[in-house]
Amino acid sequence: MPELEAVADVLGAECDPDDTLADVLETLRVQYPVPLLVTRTDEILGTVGLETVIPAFGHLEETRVGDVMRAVPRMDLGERVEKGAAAMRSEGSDALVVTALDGGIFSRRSQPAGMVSSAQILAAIGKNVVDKAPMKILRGHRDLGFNVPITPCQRNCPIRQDIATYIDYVSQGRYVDSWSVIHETNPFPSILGRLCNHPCETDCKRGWDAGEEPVTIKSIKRFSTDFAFKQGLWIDYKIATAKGKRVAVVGGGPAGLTAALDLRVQGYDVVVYEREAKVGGLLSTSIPPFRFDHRQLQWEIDMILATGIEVRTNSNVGSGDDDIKVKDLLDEYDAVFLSIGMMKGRILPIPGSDLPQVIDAMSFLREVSYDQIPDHFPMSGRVVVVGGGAVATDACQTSIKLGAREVWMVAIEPEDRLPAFGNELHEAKEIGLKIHSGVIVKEILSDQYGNVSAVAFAPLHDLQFDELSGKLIFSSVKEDEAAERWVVGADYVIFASGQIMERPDETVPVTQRGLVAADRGGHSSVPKLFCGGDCVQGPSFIVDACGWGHRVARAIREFLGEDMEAAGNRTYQTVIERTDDHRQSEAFSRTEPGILAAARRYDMAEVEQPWSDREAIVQSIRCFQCDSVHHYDESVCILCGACDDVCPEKAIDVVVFGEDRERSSGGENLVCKTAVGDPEGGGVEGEIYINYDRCTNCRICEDHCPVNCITFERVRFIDDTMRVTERPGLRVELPLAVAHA
Amino acid sequence: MTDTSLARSIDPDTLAPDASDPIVADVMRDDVVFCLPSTPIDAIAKLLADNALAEIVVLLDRRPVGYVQQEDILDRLVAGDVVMFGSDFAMRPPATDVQARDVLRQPALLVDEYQRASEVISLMAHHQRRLAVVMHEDETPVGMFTPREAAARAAVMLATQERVHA
Repeated sequence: MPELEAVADVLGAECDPDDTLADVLETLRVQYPVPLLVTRTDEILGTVGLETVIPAFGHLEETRVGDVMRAVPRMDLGERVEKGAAAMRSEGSDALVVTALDGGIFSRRSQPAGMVSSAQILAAIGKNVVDKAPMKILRGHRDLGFNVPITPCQRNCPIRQDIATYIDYVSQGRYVDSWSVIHETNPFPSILGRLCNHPCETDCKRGWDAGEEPVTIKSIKRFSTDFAFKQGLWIDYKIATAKGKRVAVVGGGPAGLTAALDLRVQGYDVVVYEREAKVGGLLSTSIPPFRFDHRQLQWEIDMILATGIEVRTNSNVGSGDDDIKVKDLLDEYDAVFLSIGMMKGRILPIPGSDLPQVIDAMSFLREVSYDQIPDHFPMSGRVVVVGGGAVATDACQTSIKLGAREVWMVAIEPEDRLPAFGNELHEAKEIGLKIHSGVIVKEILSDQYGNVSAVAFAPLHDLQFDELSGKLIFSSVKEDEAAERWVVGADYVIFASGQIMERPDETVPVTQRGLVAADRGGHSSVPKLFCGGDCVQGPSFIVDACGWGHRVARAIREFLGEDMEAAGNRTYQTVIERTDDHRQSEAFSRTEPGILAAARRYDMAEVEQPWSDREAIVQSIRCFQCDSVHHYDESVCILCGACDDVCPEKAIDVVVFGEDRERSSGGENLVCKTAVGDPEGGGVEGEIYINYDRCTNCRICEDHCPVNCITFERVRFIDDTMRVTERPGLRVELPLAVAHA
Repeated sequence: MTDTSLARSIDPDTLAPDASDPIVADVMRDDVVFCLPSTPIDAIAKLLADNALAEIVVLLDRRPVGYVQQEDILDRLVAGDVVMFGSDFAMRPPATDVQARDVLRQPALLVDEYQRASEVISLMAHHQRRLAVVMHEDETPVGMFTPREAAARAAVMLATQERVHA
């Protein structure tokens, strides 16, 4: 059970008890579902929530906040969440104020430090739930008469990719259609086809069965994108009528560009401020070219910017004399989206960390991304990288590829618990990386000329790890006092020990963790200022950043007065299409793309190799097509029960009224309701239910139906804002694909 | 014609009652977030949090059979029936044995999609509810009306009043 501190948010907006509900309505709406604090002379009196609008509807201007507010208990932020919930329930409140000690020894007082609302506790309870059956949401009128399951992979994807559809299109050889479907919600498929942490695969139904592994979703996406890139394809976006509103996006990384594209397509004027000389954020400045083809990133960025987004590079938003100020942006634009990431690397303050040959990994990778060798980098020398995550691995491999003779990765966690991706570590070790773990850096030693000569580490003992996340519990890190220090010779030290968010100025609210304070929709406590991505969430994955971009774009549109319920995200048209039978997929197992032979991996050539058509199609047909649903022709079905009897997954129930048949599937999706003959005169009447969590679309029911009334269909809402065109001038040659079947 | 009848004759409510008080189908949330009777309550917590709801409708074969409110989940948390960390893998057992059917309240507040928004808000106030399930004529839920939609209506009304006063 976590403590209140883990779920607390910053103290939100405030109002006075004498304000009316009409006065605070807009603030309540922005902050919903978190209630508004009611204060007077710095004293917190209670909270008021949006639900008070209902009984007061029609007389909001006469209803005082003080008359409808609820009590708000206080509790120390070290208390457990369940205790906080108990206090809220006993006082009938919707939130509680968490307090922390402040001041010196004699002046120490308990001060409000944040707020926990019911919504935040619910979010914490549901944080890791990825349930299968109940997460389907009926899409209002559009769903009438259909069963449209949201597939497990799509549900787990932060940008809700229509995965089953684009995989199906690849299996049919419709690569361009597949790429187009991917682009509906994903502006960076070339990157995410290679570097995504693929939460979709974690939940793939193919992987639910013992002995089976999930579909290689990520690499199928890469295949479609490679094809489109090779063919010189391009997406022209249909831009909605100009809204006459201007939005500034600070930071041209994946979150910023995703939001910029969404807003531009909807008719907003968007200006992106980027402090680097090129846009792309960490994609272009922190991820080295051996991880992905930077030409494809540029192609995707060009498609985004061609919509008419203005980019101002070398424009830093901060507090320096030459910097652009957040306040000026807020004055100039209708909304500002701050997506500045966590681009500053951290150097641990140990003796010797100020030596000239010590650098943080973010700066190191950034310089390399501009095709420069960082100052003091020892060609043919010894490099020690402190840290064990993905950035550390990239720094290690980059050092090897730049010509370092000996490269050490030194980390706290044991080798089998390092946060880096296992395949990347394996790749790095194949080209000479050495790993030493279970130690903590203590000192960087120098020679008589003031140059780095060695690094000293202290051994650790009894490290503890969180059972669920597998992450190191930092409070368990203790030095083994009796053990001798481990000293390794070095000419250059790279710290890959975390990143810092650089707060532009005092205007931007921050949390106790040093992150920007905003909710999941990007709303901050500053009017017109929206924030999202790593700078709010902390270091996360690229796909999460794209998810932030979509969410914040939606929040900004809402804020700027768009009626989102009427507009929807984009304009859709509905299509129903038959889906194919993939039964032969049982014969194939999961494969991953091959990588370059170790001997060819000493330069910056891309390591992961493309798939051949055959490999992509074979992997695609492994998909169960969970988005396909049974369509029973009710005028033909005779309720014989054959489908129920033959279903190997026990996913179908045929219920004939008046007959005592057990409903064993647990399914609650009604797919057929029919009568055979006149029920009054000897005929039968009944219903058929499906459990889509069990169904694997094997189509055995379709085969055994004696009257051929079952087909499998997909219902899709097609995005009509995109048009794929061909630009022969963009055609490129990619490396020949090698079949790995 | 007296002043009163003149005022009535230009009153937007009299001239176009639909505009000042639309049917709920025009202002509802066009999704139905729901759970099943068998849904574990930690999954319900996620649905409530993800969709900014305080109540959720429980459907069985698309027919509303009741509702669950956030306070019931908090009570179960206090009672120690809920573990704060749920399952992140498909095959892992659920983190709580308590299901929607164990905390179900009845009846759900159902409204017809052609009912006026003001009527729906009155019903919600009368029954002290934070969710009205909007039903299509074939008994299928097609939308939701929550405090968020009520506040949006209130904002429109206040803006209209301001324009009239101006």
